[in-house]
Amino acid sequence: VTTDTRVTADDAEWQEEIRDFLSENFTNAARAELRNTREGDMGPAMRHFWKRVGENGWFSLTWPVEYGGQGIDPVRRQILIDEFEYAGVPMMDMTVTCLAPVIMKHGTDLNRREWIPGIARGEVTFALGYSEPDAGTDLASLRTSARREGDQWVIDGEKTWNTGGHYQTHQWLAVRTGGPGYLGISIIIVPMSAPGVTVSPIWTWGDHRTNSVHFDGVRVPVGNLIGEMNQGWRYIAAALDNERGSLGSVGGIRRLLDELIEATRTTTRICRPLCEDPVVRQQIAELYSAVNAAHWLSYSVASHLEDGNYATVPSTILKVMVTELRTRISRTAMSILGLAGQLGTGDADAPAGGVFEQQYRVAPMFRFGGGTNEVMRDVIAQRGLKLPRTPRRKEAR
Amino acid sequence: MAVPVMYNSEQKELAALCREIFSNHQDAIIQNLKDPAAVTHVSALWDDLVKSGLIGIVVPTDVGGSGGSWTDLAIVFREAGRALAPTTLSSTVFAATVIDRLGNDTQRRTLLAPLLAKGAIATVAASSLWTVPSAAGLTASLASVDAGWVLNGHDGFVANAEASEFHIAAARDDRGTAAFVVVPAKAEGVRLTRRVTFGGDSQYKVTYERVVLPFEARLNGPDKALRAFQPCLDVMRVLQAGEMLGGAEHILQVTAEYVTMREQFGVPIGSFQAVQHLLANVASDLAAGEAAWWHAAELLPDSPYAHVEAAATNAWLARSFVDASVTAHEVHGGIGFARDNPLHLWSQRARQLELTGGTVREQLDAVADALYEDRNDD
Repeated sequence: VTTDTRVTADDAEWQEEIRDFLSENFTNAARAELRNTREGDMGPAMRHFWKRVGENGWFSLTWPVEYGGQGIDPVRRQILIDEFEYAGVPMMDMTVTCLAPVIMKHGTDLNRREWIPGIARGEVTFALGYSEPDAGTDLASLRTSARREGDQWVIDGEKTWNTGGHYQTHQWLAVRTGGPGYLGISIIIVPMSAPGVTVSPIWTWGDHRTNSVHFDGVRVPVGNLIGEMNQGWRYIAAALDNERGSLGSVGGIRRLLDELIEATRTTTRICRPLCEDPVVRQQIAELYSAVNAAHWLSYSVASHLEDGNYATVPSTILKVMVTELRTRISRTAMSILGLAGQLGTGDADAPAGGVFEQQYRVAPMFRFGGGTNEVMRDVIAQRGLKLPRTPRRKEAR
Repeated sequence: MAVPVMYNSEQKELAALCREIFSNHQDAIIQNLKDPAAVTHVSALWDDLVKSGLIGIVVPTDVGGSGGSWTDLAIVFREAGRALAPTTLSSTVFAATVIDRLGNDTQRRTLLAPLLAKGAIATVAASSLWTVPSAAGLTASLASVDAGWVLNGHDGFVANAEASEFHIAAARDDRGTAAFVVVPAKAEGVRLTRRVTFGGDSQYKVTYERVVLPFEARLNGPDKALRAFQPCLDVMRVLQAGEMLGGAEHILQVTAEYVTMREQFGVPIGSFQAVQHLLANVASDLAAGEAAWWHAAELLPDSPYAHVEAAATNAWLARSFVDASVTAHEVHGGIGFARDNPLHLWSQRARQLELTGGTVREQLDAVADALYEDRNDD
């Protein structure tokens, strides 16, 4: 570990506790499962790992005490996420990090009673049902509909880029319940086991499975509506802030940089290790200065969390920085490692087990996931710097 | 800024006080910088800084300082950078830091008093140490003679050498080790040539020719002067990072205001995505830079990580400040190109700061050394 998080003494103890937990529970079997799955779902070892995380109460660390959380300093959660990512644990389920805080803040009492305890135990997990074939970045034009029939919602439509649709228990589904535009959207929870839900895979360049999900006359109880009808856009926005906060965790890129530093010690060019090449040293130091800045920004952003919810502009800045650094580090790594930079997992000579070419392929997802970075920059400019809004819809011009 | 470092109430008060002082003198600061022949100094501002105890804010109370923290001083420099404060502030604070860390108690008392109480200006002549922190690179030498010392040599880039009451000059002594001596600016044998610099600030080429100094001119606190000097340089790099942050924040603010007001094609140019994204990039660089800068300031001066953090943060903000100024010129168009608009003064300061105290390349060398050293220690 070349980069040290240099936390306070109290936090250092907490960091130690997390590291001990990881060495005990993030077993070789769990790592092997992660290497071998292309489906993103979990084998027994990873299921056991997440169960232990849940038993520690670590899913609900920053939740208010009244919802079974521990109400702790959000910086501590940042340390937890950071350590997990650094160790190579997959991102904590977004149900916990992004959606539960929204239910607590914006949901009805019924919503909270019905969903929060199961989420805290890791038994209820949501896939994000937002994008549609014709509604991506322009999410407010989504068409999947829910109409009320008696005490049920009847849902029809198609969602795409539905990561986890094949293993999560429920769908956090954005549906049209009112007129056009963002004021006609609601969030309804749909069990994946409901009749009329069909899931088909989409394979990505990053070796990651996502899905297309069809809803044909799917019926769920009216109580599955989150918060108020036609207010879904607010909940989506709040969840997106949290998603950006999660995507902005620096542990993963810190690890990637440390792997690169290690690889430059062992990879040679013209009979000497790359780490003795002044040009390489400059490149590495430049990456460090960026990762370091992002790292401290992530702690600063975390300290602004309120009841587990991120503030919009800071989390957006962090999301852009960290996701683009992932590209930059993997890109630089492939370049400076020379011919070995192209070697992938399974090749005995691949530097750092092939992580650089793999991360190069995965990196684009982070840049458009959770909102494309172009839109993120709109948000930073318009909400952070108060610049005038860009007219979006044709009719608005 | 979007992600404010959370100042406590005292820090907020300090920042507000500094902002008030600097903005009271903003016009004079600009006028001073527009005159390339003038010494980069504003006396009325200086009086206010001295009166408020800001020059010696971090100097211990036993030698007349305010006994504040390094983060306090960092706050002062951020506000100084925002207002483009004269370089006499950084050169004097740098000199005071070196005296406080390298001098013995008598030297600290006698040398710091005029700076903290009487408004005297000082500077450090040690630019070769910015590049290579070793005695071998020093361009002045110090010979021991019966009456004390004789200093010979030069330093190519000394800020405010003429306006300063004294220089702290770095030189190699008879044994080949680094020494720091106090040289009165008006001493016999000190020759000053004003540089013509991009930043229009008062830097000098200083030649020391058989300058005779008394024994007590040598700062002789700790044994290993060079090792004791390193934290001073780290301090300057962090303070400078604060100046860069403040300067860039100023640029971002005036540019955001300008693009909101300036209309083309019937709409404010700030409503165009291309413009928004340029400024969003600047805002993001500064948000991250602010967090890293604050952390580095908290590590000052003696944490084992202060050195690498100071260098990494300085490199990041040096580039961010320059990027901010280049972006600002782009979106201001001709309005920012006219000399009537003071924007170029911030752009000039960005480059001057980037090169002073170690270039980005040298800061990154320090970072790389620290990153790769890690293994050798095991």
